[in-house]
Amino acid sequence: MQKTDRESSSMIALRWPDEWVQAPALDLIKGTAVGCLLINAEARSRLGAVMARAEAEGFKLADTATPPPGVSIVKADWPGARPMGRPGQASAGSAREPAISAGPTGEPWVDSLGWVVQLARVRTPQNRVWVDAQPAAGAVVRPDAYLRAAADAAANGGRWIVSMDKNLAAGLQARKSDAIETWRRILRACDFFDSHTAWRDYARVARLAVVSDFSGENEFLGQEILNLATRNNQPCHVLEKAKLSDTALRGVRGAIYLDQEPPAPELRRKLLAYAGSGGLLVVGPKWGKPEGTLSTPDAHARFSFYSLGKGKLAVAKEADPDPYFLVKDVPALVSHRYDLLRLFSANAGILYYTVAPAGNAGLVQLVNYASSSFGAGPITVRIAEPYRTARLRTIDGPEPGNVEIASKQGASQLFLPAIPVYAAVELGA
Amino acid sequence: MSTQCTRRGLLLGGAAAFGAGLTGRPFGYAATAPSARVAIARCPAYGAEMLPALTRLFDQLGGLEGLVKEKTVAIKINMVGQVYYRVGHLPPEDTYWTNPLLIGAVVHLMGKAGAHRIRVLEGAWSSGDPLEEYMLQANWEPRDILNAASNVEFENTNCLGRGKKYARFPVPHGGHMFPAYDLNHSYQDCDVFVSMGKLKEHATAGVTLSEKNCFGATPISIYGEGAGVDEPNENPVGGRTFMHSGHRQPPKSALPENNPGSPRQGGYRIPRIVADIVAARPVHLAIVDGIKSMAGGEGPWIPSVKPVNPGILIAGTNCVSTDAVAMAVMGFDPMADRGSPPFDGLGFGFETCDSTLRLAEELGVGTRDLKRIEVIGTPIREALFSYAALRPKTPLFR
Repeated sequence: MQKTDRESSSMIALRWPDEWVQAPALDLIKGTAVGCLLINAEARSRLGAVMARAEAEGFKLADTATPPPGVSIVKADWPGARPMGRPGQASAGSAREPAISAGPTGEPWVDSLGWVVQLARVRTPQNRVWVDAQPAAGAVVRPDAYLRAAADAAANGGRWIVSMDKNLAAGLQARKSDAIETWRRILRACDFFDSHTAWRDYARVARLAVVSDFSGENEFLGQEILNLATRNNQPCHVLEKAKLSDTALRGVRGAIYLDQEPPAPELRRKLLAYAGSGGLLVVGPKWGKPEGTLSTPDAHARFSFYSLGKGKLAVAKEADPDPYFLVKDVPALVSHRYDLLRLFSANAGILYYTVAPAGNAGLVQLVNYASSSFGAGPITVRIAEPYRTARLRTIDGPEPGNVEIASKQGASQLFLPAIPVYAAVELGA
Repeated sequence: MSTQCTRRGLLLGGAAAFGAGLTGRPFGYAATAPSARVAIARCPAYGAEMLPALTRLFDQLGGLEGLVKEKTVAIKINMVGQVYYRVGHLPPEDTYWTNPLLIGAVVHLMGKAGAHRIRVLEGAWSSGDPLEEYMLQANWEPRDILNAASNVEFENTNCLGRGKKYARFPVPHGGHMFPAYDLNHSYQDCDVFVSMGKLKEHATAGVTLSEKNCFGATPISIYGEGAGVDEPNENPVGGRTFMHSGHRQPPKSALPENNPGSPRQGGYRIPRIVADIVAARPVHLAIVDGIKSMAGGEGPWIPSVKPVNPGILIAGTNCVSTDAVAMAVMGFDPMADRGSPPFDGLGFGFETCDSTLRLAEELGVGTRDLKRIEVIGTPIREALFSYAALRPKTPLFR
């Protein structure tokens, strides 16, 4: 029998490959940590025998429309990086696995599902978040890319639903050695994240926040800000406006409210109190008449500024500001002096920084979305917190080792080796 | 794309046009190009030894006071490429950017020499933000530079910045590539213009010293990928790829190229654009930071680059002559041209290029002939740090 001692939400879930139409295919995953099979409704009629045997073997069956209890499933793009077309626009890409471009002007476009997980965790905090990111149709996925998908979800507190491309599914069925090795690496990655469940309780740290309902008319801009800010290594707190507490913006240096409707009076009071106490509040024309005193008109191409108590209001001149510029502007308006994170020599990398509930330990996880070897050299990370010790862990690398760390003026620089896919650095004060 | 004139090219009948293209517009001012003395100083690090070395260097050129007293000084520094690139774990200032400690020291000495105002300028990659914000992202502390003298300012020259309009700089004799360049007001609102480059090779231009540093003076609002069609784009993004490739023209508000039919090759275009700029916006003081640098290219995006520590500072009041001496210190012949080191595609397969020094000399900016240049301080043979000897033996791309 397949082990069933885990709660459904803690199981490793596998999207059942279309190519596996015979029940004996279950033998390929029997005895592994996979406990839940996702089979969508349209496939069930032709997989009757598979499903019957799976249930008899103790596998849980689910589909994305009816997730197991305690689970929210979110859909996301396959994570990776690809060359950018004109600045701010992704290139058309291809069905094949994308690769990043080289050169000083080759800023890559990174597809990360991290912000999707963050938003889902805020919306359904009681649930585990499973991420449904599948390889594009016809894509040939390299082994590292599966690890990247697992890491991308896990670094954000989610769990990737293991999804294979046709090659891997067929290769496993044919018992090909390279496919079996890839499969083992995927399972090792899942085990790695399962063995560090405490990390899921670590709290996200951010100096910026987005306040929105992230839905309806506000869905695109709110979510795109989260997406692009994450990609720029400017972590944001995701704050639902209906639940905004008086303390939610504590420690935040820049808060963005750009919903299409003015805030309700109570929300407006909270946001103004935040700005008045020294924060930067970024709003749009829909905010209504700005409070405070207009200062230095025309000082900025995209914002007007109003002094408000110890802080200020930055009013975007456009009703629908370009999120590409917005996520670059806000950290500069706050000042990059207060950047929480800086990442060097990994231009397709994203850092995820959290701290232990007791506050005595930190964790920085790095996911490298670049699929080419360009820039695959040593990486430097700066965290604006003082740490004295740092230990590096990788999914299938050697035992954890100490990382050289340099502290200066309350910040720590970590000198890491090349990180092809993922690394976690445990930080001690 | 190769720029070499092949037998096949000749047979196809393109020889005349191709040759004319590579030759470009003839300017005959090399013989009368002025010369000025160039000073070299040993300086192994950016520590306490740097200020005395710089003081001595400037004194050998006649002192800073005569140049900057009661003047507004603009210093174009070098922060090429994206902020997050590093060679290994080394910060960019120790490999491919001018070092902020050197910038601070120069600013300090200029303040001490009575400069009225000092503006530090750069048009960093894809940024319209204040320059100090770019510096902060590189872990620099801009206050150290701001506090090094009184009346110090920063300006990001990628866009209008604090100005209301762009300043047009006509190129003497009509220019190799453009008849004039539209630049940020700070390049006009100064009495003294200083180019502070790094001692480096360059994949497209052979070397990047005090002249090539001035390429970054071009605002990306006009000369960048994100430039507008009719007007400058004051939301500047990207780099200056079209200046390399020539696949488009600047906005109609700026003057177009002299000859859109000229070769669309970086190795042809970039040296000419740089020569034009230093002719149009004369450099009063050229400083080359060779204390710590890198060999094998201009930035970490070039394969096989390595950090080096030549321990050298070079300065002069003529940018062409200063760069000629710097080339000699790097082990290259400043009279060299396309096909010979360092204008041979870094020796490992990049496109060959024309000599910026020769092109600027032809515009009458300055001489590159060492026989006509007085070198003071450390002799070239003692300062020699051979970049040529560090070149890879095997071509990477052929």
